[in-house]
Parts: sequence; C-alpha cells; structure tokens
Amino acid sequence: MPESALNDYIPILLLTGFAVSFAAFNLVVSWLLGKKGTSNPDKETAFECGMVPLTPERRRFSVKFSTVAMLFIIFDIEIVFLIPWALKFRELGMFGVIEILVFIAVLMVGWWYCVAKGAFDWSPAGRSRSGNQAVRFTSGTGTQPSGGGALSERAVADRVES
Amino acid sequence: MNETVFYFATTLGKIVVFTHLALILAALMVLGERRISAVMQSRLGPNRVGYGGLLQPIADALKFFFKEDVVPGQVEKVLYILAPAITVIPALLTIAVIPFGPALTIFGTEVPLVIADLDIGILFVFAIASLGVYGVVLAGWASNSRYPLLGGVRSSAQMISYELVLGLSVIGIFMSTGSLRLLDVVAAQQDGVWFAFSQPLGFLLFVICAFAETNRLPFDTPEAETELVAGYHTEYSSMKFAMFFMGEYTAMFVFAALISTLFLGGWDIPFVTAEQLAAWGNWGSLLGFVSFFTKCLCFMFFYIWVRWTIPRFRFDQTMALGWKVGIPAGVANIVATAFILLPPGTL
Amino acid sequence: MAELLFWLMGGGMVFFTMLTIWSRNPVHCTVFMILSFAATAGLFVMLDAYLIAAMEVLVYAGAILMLFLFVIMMIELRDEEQEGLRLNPLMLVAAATFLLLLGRAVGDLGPVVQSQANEMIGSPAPLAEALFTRFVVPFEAVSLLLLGAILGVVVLNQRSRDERASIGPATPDAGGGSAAPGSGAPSVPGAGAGAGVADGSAS
Repeated sequence: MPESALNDYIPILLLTGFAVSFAAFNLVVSWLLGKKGTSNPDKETAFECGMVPLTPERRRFSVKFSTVAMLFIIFDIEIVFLIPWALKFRELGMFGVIEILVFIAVLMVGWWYCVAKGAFDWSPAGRSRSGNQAVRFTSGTGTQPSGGGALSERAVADRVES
Repeated sequence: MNETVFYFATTLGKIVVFTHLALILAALMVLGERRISAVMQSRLGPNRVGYGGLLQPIADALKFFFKEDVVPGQVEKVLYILAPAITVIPALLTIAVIPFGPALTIFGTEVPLVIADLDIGILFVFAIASLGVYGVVLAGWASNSRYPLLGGVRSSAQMISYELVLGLSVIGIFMSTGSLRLLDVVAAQQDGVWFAFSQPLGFLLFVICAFAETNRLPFDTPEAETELVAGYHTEYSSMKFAMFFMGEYTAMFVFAALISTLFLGGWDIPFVTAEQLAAWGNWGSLLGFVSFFTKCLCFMFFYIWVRWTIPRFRFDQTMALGWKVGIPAGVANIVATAFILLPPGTL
Repeated sequence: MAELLFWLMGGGMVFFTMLTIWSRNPVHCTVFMILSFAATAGLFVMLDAYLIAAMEVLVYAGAILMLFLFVIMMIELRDEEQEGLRLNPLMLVAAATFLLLLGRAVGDLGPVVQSQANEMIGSPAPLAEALFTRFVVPFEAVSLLLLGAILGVVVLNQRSRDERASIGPATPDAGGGSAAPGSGAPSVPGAGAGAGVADGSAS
C-alpha cells in the first residue's frame, strides 16, 4: 500500500500511540489497584538513609556536566556531517575523503586541546595530575578494568579506611 | 481483500507482536538475570513460581501493580509521574526499525518483518534514544532528592558521551552499505561477511556503548548501590519503579537486536545464502527469525556474564574511556575504513 | 489524512511553543520545548525531509535541550526567582514586525521553498552531493567554527574552575565529582565521583 514514503511513517504513529497507551495503562492500573497507604511526615521526606536531611535536597552540581553537554553538541554535529558523507562516500571518491580528513583533523585539534586542558578529567585534581589515570587511558590499552592496579594510592587508602 | 485494510491489519499485527515480544523478553531477561547471576554465585535464585521460576515475572508484575505507590512530599508531581513513561515510550519506539526476519508471504503479499522500514533507519533509533535520556534526568530532577539528582545527572552525562561513540562506531558500516536502512545492512552481510569481522573496531566500540547506554555494569555508576542508593529511581516505588526496569531491559533488548542486525548478520545463517533461505518460503522466514533471536539471546547472556566479570568503573574512568579512547578510536575506524574501501589509485 | 496530520503537527508546535513561553518553571519550559521540536520534526517528515527531521530530534531535542536542562538544573532557580512572561508593549511590536516579515517571506517564496525542499533534502544523497561538491568551502569553514566552539567551551570551563579555586578553600572534590564544594554542610557520602571506589558489584 505505501505509495509515498510518508506512509512509512504511519506505522510509527501507530506505534507511538501503542507505546503511550501502554505507559498510561501501567500508571493508571497501578494507581487503581495499588494499596492506598497512610501518610505521615516521615514518609513524606526525601530518602536520606534514615537521617533527617540537613541541607536542601536539590544541590548544585559540578559545572563539568554542562561542559560535557556543550562538547556533546559540537561532536554530535560532527557526526551529523559525517553521515551524509558516509552514504555517498564511494561516489565522492578521494576528493570526499580528503575533505572529510581535513574536517576531522580540525576537530581533532579541538579534541586534543580538550585533553590537554583536562576537560575530560573528572577525577579530583590531585588524582588526575599526580596519579596516572589519564596516562593510563590515553596509552590506548582500551578497557582498563578498575582493578587494584588502576587505582591510585589515595583511592586504595579510601578503600582501606572504609 | 482490500489492500488498505490488509496493510493496516498487518501493521497493527506486527506492532502488537513485536512490542509484546520485546516486553516479554524483557521480563524473562529479569528472571534470566536473577537465575544466571545465582548460578554464577553458587546460589539457586528464584525457582519456586512455575517450572524453574518461569512464572516469576508475572508474580513480580502483579506484585508491583498492587504495591502502595509512595509519592514523597518534596517531589515535582507532574514530571515525577511522567518520567517513568518518558523512559518506557522511547524504548518501545526504537523497536520500529528493527528487522526481525526475512519477509513473510501472507495471502500472496510480501510482508516485511519490520514495523517501519525507514530510509533513515538507524538514525531513527539514535534520535529516539537521545530522547530516552530525558526520562532519567527528569526522574532525578523531579524527585527533588540528592541521590536521584546525582544519579540522573551522571547517567545523562554518561549516556550523551557514549552516544557520540555510538554514532562514530556505525559510520564505517554505512560507508560499506551506502544506506542507513537496516534491511540493506542485513542484505549486505548476507552477500558478504558479517560486519563484526570486517569492522572489528566498530563492533568493539558499539558493544561497549551498548553497556554504557543501558547503564549496565561495568558502567552502572548512575545507580551504583554503594554510593547512590539506587540512583535516579531511589524515590520511586510500585509500578513506576518497575517501568524504569521495563524501559531499561527493553533498551537492552533493542541494543542486542541492533548488534545482531548491524554486526552479526541479522537473520543471516552462516553458510546459507539469501536465495536458499527464500526458497524455503515462510519456513525460511521462521528459520531466519530463530537465527536472529538466537543472536539476541546470546548477547543478552553476554550482558549478564559481563556484569559478574568486570567490576564497576569509577565515574571519571567511564568518562575518560568515552572521551579519550572512544572518540579517537571511532574516528580512526572511519579513516581506516575509508582507505580500505577506496580502491587504490582513485585520486 | 495528510492535512489532518499537518494541523496536528503544526498546531502542536504552536501550542507547545506557547507553553514554553508561558510556563513559569524553567524545567517545564524545556520539556515543552522538546515537544515543540518533536512536532517540528513531524512537519519535516511531512515535507519528505527525513534526514532533517532526524537531525532536528537528534541535535536540537536530544543535544541542545539537554544542555539547557543541565544549565537550568545547575543554576537552580529558586521559586521566587522564576518569573513568567510579563507582557511589554515592545514585545508586541517585535512580534508584529516578525510576523509581517515572515508573512512577506512566505508569500514570496512559499511554493518555491517547498518544491526545492523535496528535491534537495528528501534523502541524504542529494544533500551529500551538494554539501561535498558545491559547498566545500562553507563545509570546511563549519569545522573551524566548531573548533572555535570547542575552544570556547574549554576556556570557559577553565576560568570557572580558577574562580572557584580563588573563592573558597579548595575541597578535594572540587575538580570532578558531582557534589558542590561544601559550604559547611556535611558532604554526601560517596557523592563525589572520586569518592566512590569501584568496589565490585554488590547487588
């Protein structure tokens, strides 16, 4: 039946309807069937391992998270440019490859700058500089299991204390 | 029979069958995980409900439905209730483009075993999966509590970081196939070798991302029990809590299916050509479906196997692996693929 | 069918954009904006611009609004600081001018834009051909632009780190980790990314 490509998207609409109603069904049925409990002030509080919260629950967090989000946008756009190239890669030939190599090279300069400036170092300053975490990962051995060898001395000390 | 009616009937049929397949598999995966984990730790695991514990998921679901839904006072009500739904809906939507098997022939009409055979194929999955992150981060924010917030923010930072590696790792495939359509990717592998062999680096990166994107060990820092209680779903209970699990396990199935499709030949059976499979008609389709499903199940076992093999990464290690190793490795894979695929002398 | 979908998507887009503007809670604004982008993607699908639709969701709804959300959550507006939209005569003038210009542009270009859209961006292939042959120089310029953006991000992050170091006593968690530097408050156990040692998988 699909004569226009748009009709490929009708199943998506139907599936969206199905998924939304499935989620709604779960929420409504559990609301209908669920036990109606009593309420008391302790039950109303946020989880704090049984302690009374001393500070406001919503705390500020490290600016690094939004840095990652910004860098994510930039590299996402890079990938978005790579996809059309990948699809026409054979037709574009060597010229296209050189083009994309220049494009990637420029962006990898940015990537290298991030690495050099420590934008990807999440460990506390003392650990990433004096410790060898960063070096270990850039040395390219791939998935380093975080066994005893990969832990810096302070981390081991933390572990011994706890 | 009216063509339009037939089209809608088969489409609806596919939607119902495939989504339920994924959900049932997700439920069985929870059971399987508990049983296999138990075996790996010399325990028994849940084996009382039904034969070998097979009915345990149903018992769990019923229990979740009847549990009291504790909504703590400090939460941001609307988003708190919507967040589990925002996790489940994208996970179910991504099933749309996965080809489950060769086309069936029903009443003389070919019905491809994929809900929507889109031009943009894998990009659809990436786009929808990028929306799935919001479920986690909004759950963390709406809970208005410290562990969920930390878990949600960490989780989203991890997921977006690995989305990049995910995107880079599959570009090599599109360079060989020249198409984003998953059916074309499967066809290319039936004619040639599986991309797991011709794109080993891309395969490795994709597998790592499958773990990171679904917050599985060794990348489960967002819900690391020892430090964050339960991460973004600390404040959730009852069915809302279960919906996070449904979303997570459905996403695990989707990633297993994507790995089977993109790198392990989809429904391709080794040493059987597409023509031979087609010659068997609908039985061939069924065989292809079984082959595809076997691959998915193997990968889902791999998830559990890895869980009890590799200890959890620290968060800084997770991020370093993604940004410092994943991205250059993905780029290197693209460049290497370009030079291998381009015939020499085409300047 | 197509007309109904158009009104659904277009109406949804306008509706969610309105809610984005009028919502008082910034996180709710972001959520409405995501929905608005999703509706826009639906409109792109109706124009047969599938690639653009996917990118709209991937880049705008998936990436850029994630940054918005992070920033909103990070600066953590208190309720009293959140202000809804207050109408200002100047806003009406600006809106009217924009609508006028938009109407003029659509009136002049409308049919042309649509027919070109179908050929140009219907599928990735023509887009790639145009991008990598006719528009090589702009394409490479984009990489420089992105490079500049990367440098900007890193430099901004660097400065905020220095400022933090100069403001308060340095805490061991200052660089990474998720907890804000302690302001006399008891630190959350294991909150900093560094504090939690990967100690296997207790489940």
